[in-house]
Order: sequence, then C-alpha cells, then structure tokens
Amino acid sequence: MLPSLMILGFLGLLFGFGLFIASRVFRVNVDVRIARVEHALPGANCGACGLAGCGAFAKAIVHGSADITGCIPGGDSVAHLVADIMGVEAKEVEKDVAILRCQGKDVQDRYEYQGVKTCAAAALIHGGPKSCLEGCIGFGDCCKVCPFDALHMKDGLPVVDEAKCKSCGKCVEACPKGLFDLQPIGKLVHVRCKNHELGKFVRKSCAVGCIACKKCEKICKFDAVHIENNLAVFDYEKCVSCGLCVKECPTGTIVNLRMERKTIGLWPIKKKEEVKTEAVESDAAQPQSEAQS
Amino acid sequence: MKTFKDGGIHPPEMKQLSKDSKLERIELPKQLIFPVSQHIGAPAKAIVSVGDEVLKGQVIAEANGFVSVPIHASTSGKVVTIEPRTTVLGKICDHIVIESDGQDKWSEENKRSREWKDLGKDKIKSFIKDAGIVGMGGAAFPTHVKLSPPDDRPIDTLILNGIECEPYLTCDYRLMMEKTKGVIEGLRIIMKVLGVERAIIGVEANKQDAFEAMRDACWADDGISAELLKVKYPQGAEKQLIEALIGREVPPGKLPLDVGVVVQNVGTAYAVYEAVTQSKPLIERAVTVTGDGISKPANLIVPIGTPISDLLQRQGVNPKTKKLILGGPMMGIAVPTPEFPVTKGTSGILALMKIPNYMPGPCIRCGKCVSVCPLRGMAAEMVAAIEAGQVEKYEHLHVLDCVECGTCTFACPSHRTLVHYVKQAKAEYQAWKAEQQNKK
Repeated sequence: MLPSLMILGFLGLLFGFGLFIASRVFRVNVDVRIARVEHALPGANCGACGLAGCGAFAKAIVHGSADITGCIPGGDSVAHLVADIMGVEAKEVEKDVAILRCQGKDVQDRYEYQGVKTCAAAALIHGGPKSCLEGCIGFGDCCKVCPFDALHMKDGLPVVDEAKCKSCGKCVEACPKGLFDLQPIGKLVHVRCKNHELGKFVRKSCAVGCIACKKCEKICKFDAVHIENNLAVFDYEKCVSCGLCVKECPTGTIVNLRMERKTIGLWPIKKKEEVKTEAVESDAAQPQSEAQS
Repeated sequence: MKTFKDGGIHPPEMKQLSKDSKLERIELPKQLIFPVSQHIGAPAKAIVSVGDEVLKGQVIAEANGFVSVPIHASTSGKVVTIEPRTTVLGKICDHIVIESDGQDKWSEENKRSREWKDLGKDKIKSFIKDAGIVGMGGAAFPTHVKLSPPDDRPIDTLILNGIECEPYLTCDYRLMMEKTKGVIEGLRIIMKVLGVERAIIGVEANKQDAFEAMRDACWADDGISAELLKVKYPQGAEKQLIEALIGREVPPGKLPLDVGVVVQNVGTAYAVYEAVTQSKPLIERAVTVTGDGISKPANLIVPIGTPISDLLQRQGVNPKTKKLILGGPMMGIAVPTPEFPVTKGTSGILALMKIPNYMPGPCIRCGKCVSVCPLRGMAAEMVAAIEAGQVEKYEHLHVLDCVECGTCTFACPSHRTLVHYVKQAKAEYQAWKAEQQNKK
C-alpha cells in the first residue's frame, strides 16, 4: 500500500515538475488583444479584408499591418469596437452594398439549356442560354457564395437584401458576367444594365435594357452620366443622387433606391453616435446567443 | 481483333443513315464566312481589307506564329465585311465575309501540279504549311507542327486514323471508299516527311469494305499495313488508337510523339495529297450532314466557310429540329443558331429531333464512369472536387488530362453531365493558375 502510494506520489511530483519546466521553457507569448479583436469581428471568415479569415485579420490588426477599418462586412460598428480595444480613434466608414447591373426578368432563352445548373458552366456555352449575352443567366451562383444570406433568387434574378449585405465582394467574383458592383449606400441612383449592344439589338432581347438614347446624359446637371460604348455609365464622384435621370429614362433602366432603403432603415444614413450605441447593445447580446448555441 | 484495354462504350452507331450516299460537291454558296481562328494555336491575321477582290485559293489571312496556319478563300469574290463575331467555341475573333461572284476562278499560283517524289522533306513540309492544313478529325491542330517532332524524339510509326468512332459520322468512311488512292498517296507523303518505315492504317470492324479497299490499295507497299479493330468508342482518340494498334501507352501530359508515334486522320492525309501534288490549299472538306431532322442525309464536299444553314436547307431540314450539333454526338458542340460556317474542323452537322430530356440527379457513387473511362480517370472524384470548387486538387485528379470524349456522361445512370463539369473546371484552372503566377 505505502510503496505504491509513494511511487505514484513521486511520479506525480516528477511529471508536475516536468510540466512546470516545459511551461516556462516553451512559453508562447500571446497578445490578449488578438483574441478580443477576433471576438469583435463578425466571424464569417469571408476574406473580404484580403486575409485568410477573421483570425488572421485580428492578428494583422494587433501587429499593425492591417487597418482597423479593414473589415468591410463589419463596417462602422466593428471598426469602433476594434478601435476601443486597440485604444485608437476610428475614422467614419460608409457602408457599401452590392448593386446588380441587370433587371431583365423576362429575357427569352436562345436555346434549351440542359447542362450543369450553374452560371459558370452555362456561360461557357455560347455565353449562356439568355438572348441578352451580357445579362444575368439566373442559376444563382452569387446566392450560393454569399456568406451573409443577403442574396436570394426572385423571378429569375438575384435580389440583394441590402440590410444584410456586408459588401464582402464574393458575388462580384462569382458572377461570370461581372454584373455586381459595390457602391456606397449613400449613392441611390444606379443603371441596372450592362449590355453594350446597339439599342435596336437590346430592344429585341430585353424591355428594360439601356438603349443608349442619351436622355440621361442630356438632363444631368452635374455631368455625372455618360454613354460609353452604348451604355449609360455613372461617375459616382459627381452624382448627387438627385434622380432627374430616373424620371427621364424611357426604359426604366436607371433606378432610384431611395424608397427601398428608407423602408429597411438604411437611408438616411445614421450618425456616428447612434451607430455606436447600437453596436454596444448588439455586442452585449452576442455572448448570450453564443452561449445558447 | 485488337482494341484498347480499359473502358470504352458502345453507343448506337446510326451510321446507316448516310453510309451509302456518295461524296457530292455542293453548289457554290452566295456568301462565305471565314473565322480567322479555325485551328488550335494563334489565330491567323487577316491580310485582305473590305472591298478587295479575291480569287479561289488566295491567302486571306496569314499564319501568326509557328502553331498557326493561313486561311485561303474557297471561291472567288469580294470581301464584304471583316468584323468580330463569336466562334462555335465561344471565342470572339475576326470573321472575314466573302460574297461569291459565281465564277469560282482559281488564282494563278494554284494551277501547278507536282511530282512529290522528287521533293525534299522541308520543301514538302512548307507546302503543307502554306496550304493551311490542320488535323481534319475535329481538333484542328496544325499538321506541320505534328510533322516537326523534336530531334531527340525519334518517330518509328505513323498511324493513319480511319476509325471514325463517333456515331452518325461517315465522311471519313466515304473518303476511304472513294478517294482510296489519294489517301494512300497522302500517307506515303507524310511517311517521307517523317522519315518512318512503318505505317499502320486503323479501321473499325463496322467499316469492313473500307478496310478491304485500304488493304487492297496498299498491299504492294512493304511498310504500310491495314488493321481491322474491334468496334469500341473512343477508339479514334489518339492515345487509345496507339494502345489498340501497337500496345504503347502515352503517359498523362505527354504526346504521342513521346512514344515515337504520329497519328494522322484520313481526311488530313487526303488534304496533304491534294496540297502537295496539285498545289491545292485546304479550301474544302468532307462533311456529313445527317440526323433524324434531315430528310436527305448525305456526305458532301463543302467549301470551307459555307454557312451551315445552306447545307441544312439543301438536305431538307425539319423545322421541328430541336438540336443542332457541329461534329459528332459524343464530342461535337451544340449550336444555338445555324449561322455558323463550316470550318476546317467541322466533320459533321447533326440535326436531331428526338432528344431525351434527362434530369441530372445526384451522384450515386456507382463507379460506372470510372470503369468506362478510357484514360482510367476518376470522373466521380473529379466532379466532386469541381462542385466543391477545390481547384488545387484538379492537377492531382488529372482533370486536365481529360479528352472530353463523353464516355462517362454516356454511361452515367444518374444522367449527370460530367464532361460539362470538366470543361468548366479546365477554364477555372487556367484562371487559377494565372492568379497563382501573378502572386509569385
């Protein structure tokens, strides 16, 4: 009895001492701020910051190699939280949203497509089955890649849920036709078409495509719209979202998103203080929800 | 009878539709369209301008690099437009449109006839290059490149591909039956260029009469032999044919010339014969127009550049035709409109009315695609990786070695369009590779 207790006790002491030595010799210095910053980030690992994921981004912030406003999905609120942890002042960040440059719901098919049901595969076969070669193919590759559940197919076109969109840019990469574009939430007027064909050909395939009639160019008081290669293109630096061209556009290609954004509370843009209080509230709620899950 | 070892399928042959119709020269089309990119390699460069009068056989676009060939006008007329259009493969390149003047006048250069036996190797090769000859089996790889193997890889065997394993197509069969002498003569010319002693003509057992015609035409030659092979798709693919005939296996990522073999199509041999002995450039080719949507299926000799719509009209196309395919049903490319022209690689035009409307299901992991793949590829694994977007795995799974023969898609009980996934993956891989190199 006694010898066995002694042997075990001795072994316990020996291993304990070994562990103590190891913890001293092989010690890894961890900056606690990395864990705190990582906790403050959205945790979607979307890669919009250009790094491998939220962990890598948190490390980069603490080491000073990334900007604290670099988390695009997190936007202003996360930038402020991170700024608090790091003890610096955050700049104001305006949120971006993805804008779809197509609204051709009723575009006819040129041929019966029987292949793989993804946009990337369909685009390989004569540019996709739709008669508009530059418009949306409609298999929803963008919806599949969206990490924030902000894109859904409706009537054959993806619809951006602007409240959920974090402008990570995954849809921009996924679309084989390059139909997505990230624009600040303050810009309300957009051209919803990307077809560079002549007006008469656009008319044949789509009722809501840009026919390059130049009416928008003529009415614009700020020199912000120009017809480039048969397509109206906005200069967002100059555009003040007055909406004059929206009324003038005969095909309804130019749209004003003011009302839509008002209903979901994205417009007018909230002031810095409001955002901060909201962010604090949501931060308080976050650990609870994590504990539940 | 010999055949290749692993995999392969037996699709319905459907060759009886057009098998017995003799090669027929069509009337001159009113308008001819010449894409400058009809071959693998750098697109040719247009050297005519709008309004120019051109003669039959005149060069209208010149080769732009070593892996490139010139393009010749296939009749005399006037250049109407040169504009960028989409090719069958979805590439955008310049298209030269020529309005025919109805006289079909040859240019002066193309009236000479030659005795090829007196010519040197390089001279013959330059004739082949100037005639714009490409592989006529469908891939359209410039022939002079294939005939210029590097010095460190000696070639000992030339294989003449008369397999035509694609269902429906019969133009190579008709060429072997009717132009037997020309094909054999072309083969002898290619043998001389390569300096090989041995040539084997491979013909599948469903073309017994063509085999006999070829065998009888070459019995006096010591080096040339004809061999009858068991019917199996895709025996006409280079690597399978080499394995079937002489038992050599081409490693992945390598070419037939790495195992000392060059494979040429019978259509190519005939084009070489015409180019070298009659100085006639590649301006026409044999095309099979067939399918259940065609009332008079036929084998036609068609000037390059003829719009498909002309051929369909000539042979009586059913307006209810559901699908138009350029090439055979296994590897051909479906086209949305008949506005495309016949190019150097177009071996057939299929108009199909009855097309099954399969709903692709999920992979049931039965392994059928793996057992039929002639290259012993793991199609199911490839597609799983492709669906998950794991680009870095493609190389390991040999996605890039796939020849897109369609065997797996044909065999899949779940009706999955496997080859389509692979085509998408190859495009993805190119983009990924370029990105990786940019990062470095």
